Amino acid sequence: MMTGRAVVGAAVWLLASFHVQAQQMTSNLAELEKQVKAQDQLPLGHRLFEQRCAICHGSEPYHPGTRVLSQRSANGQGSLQSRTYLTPAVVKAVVRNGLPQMFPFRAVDLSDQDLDAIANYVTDRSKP
Amino acid sequence: MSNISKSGVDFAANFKRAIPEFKKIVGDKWVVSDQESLYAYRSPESTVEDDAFLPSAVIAPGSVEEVQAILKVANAHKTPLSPISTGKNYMYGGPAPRVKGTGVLDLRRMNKILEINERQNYALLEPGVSFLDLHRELRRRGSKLWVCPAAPGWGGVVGNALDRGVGWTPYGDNFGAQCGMEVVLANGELIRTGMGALPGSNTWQMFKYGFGPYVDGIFTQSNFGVVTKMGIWLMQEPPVVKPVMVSFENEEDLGILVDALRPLRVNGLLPGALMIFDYLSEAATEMTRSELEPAKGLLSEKSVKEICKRMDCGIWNLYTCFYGTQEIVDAAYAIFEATLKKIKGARFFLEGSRDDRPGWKYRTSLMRGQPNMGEFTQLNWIGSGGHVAFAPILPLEGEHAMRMYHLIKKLYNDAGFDPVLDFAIGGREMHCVLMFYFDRSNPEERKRADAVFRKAIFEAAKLGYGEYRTHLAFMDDVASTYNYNNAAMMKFNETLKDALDPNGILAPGKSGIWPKSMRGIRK
Repeated sequence: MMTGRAVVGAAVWLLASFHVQAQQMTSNLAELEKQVKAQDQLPLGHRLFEQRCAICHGSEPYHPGTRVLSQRSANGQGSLQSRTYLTPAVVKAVVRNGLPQMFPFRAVDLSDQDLDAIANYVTDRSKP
Repeated sequence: MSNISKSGVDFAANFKRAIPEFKKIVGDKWVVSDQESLYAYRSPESTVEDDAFLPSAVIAPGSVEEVQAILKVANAHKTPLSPISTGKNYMYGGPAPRVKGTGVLDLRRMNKILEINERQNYALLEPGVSFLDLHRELRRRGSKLWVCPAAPGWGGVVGNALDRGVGWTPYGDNFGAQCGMEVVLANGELIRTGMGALPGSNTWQMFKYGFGPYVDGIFTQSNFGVVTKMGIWLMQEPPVVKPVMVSFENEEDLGILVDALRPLRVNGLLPGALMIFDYLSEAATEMTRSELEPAKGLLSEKSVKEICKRMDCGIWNLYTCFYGTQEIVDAAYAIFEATLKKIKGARFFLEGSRDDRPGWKYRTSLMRGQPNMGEFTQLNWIGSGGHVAFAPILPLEGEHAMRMYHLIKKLYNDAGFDPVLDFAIGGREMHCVLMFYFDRSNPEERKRADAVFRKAIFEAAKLGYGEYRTHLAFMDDVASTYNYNNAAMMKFNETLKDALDPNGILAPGKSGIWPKSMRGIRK
């Protein structure tokens, strides 16, 4: 049977272990694998948005596109997918020509067909 | 087509003749010559006008055979072409050619990941593969291998290595991790370097040097060939990954910090990225300059203090990461912590203490091989699109760090700019990277930015600090500083250029190397 001191010692050791673990990153490769495979199953426009656009227009604070849009929009709304006034023509014009801090995507890098799919996805009002 | 290049040669007529032949090789779709589409190949962040580096045409091959055929046509019609991989590193010029009116060989279509070897930990890639592409494929396969990303994740693995860029893991010398390449020479000949020159070689991506002269380096930052395949070594995820940020309160701490880190780095205790960011690099991930002070000019001391308080950072902020088994990480971290604790005011931030900070999030993701675009949050600091990088190399010594810091601060402050500065520590040297942001929409400011950048090149060179890489606009200036023994190095480069590319069809002017026919226009 453990003495009181041993119980306290064991508790301290356990807490120290958790403290050490919290200061290190656990592997998230399995989670990333799931994410990539889940993206592969999405409909084309959504898939392409996740693979090509979300690196800047995702929802995390370090996504530069979302950050810039939140400053430029009147209501602080940075999410590209939530904007209700965009049209496919506008999306395509911005993607092809660029803006300050939004670099142009040339057709060799992102084909017209893929851009059409992305533009339709972004402007689809029926998406959740 | 009416673009006239700065060479005084009108390539338009040459391209007009050549384009039908290019189209026969790659198909109409993959030859771009309309003004609207060509505009996407500009250098949009530079200190000069948008059209300063616009091409006349872009040809996008899909195979090695198409590259060879294209270069044959280019030789016949004297249509220079500058190869790009993903063409996304805008602070050094992006997809634009050095000479306006020449062409671009856009290799983005050549984006196959030809091999991923899980036993020997390497990949063999085509030039159009981005860090994000490779990362995604590794994850798709359930691999334990990591990409070693440069900060913008959409950059090309091959392009970055060939420009000798820096990544964020222990494999961060991206050209150092390269092993074996396949190159199409200007005359269309195909070579494989290192062990690849032995037919049926089973070590092309395992042993760099092969037999005889080791030539891979001449295809970096040069215009001697078109790299169509490249091997890259990849790191396997270790059992434990422990990132840390350490902040330091005073300007002078930079020198003390560098001297403290040097023996730990040189002796192998700290293999991971060692990145020292100033307070503005921290601020730029979350704020804009105009939030602090609407008026232009230099930031006040009050704003500096405000930044450090809001960002919970120091004047200097070191990011690094520990890798290995628990025992190795604990032992290395203990030595590191004990060393830096001797610097008064040093504060240590570990996982769980800054997770909501964009700067912490994107940098620690990079340090575990996860490409992202978080660094681009800094572009919002000024927000008007001007950004070039001034990147001299200095010894890993505190005295030199302070000298460079004071030089840059004086030059840029005198010109009306606050420098946004970081130091990427290498093996025995440091890359000082001034992430120079300016208001590109203001012609006067753009001109002032251009002038101070050029002045900094020569002032740094006088003190023995040369740049390791630069934007298209400054390539001649930087090349001119490497002039030991009557510019013997440039004469050597030109000898190679004349032998390998007598018609000057590959990237004229890249790194200040001009073909014979265009040497007259060098600044």
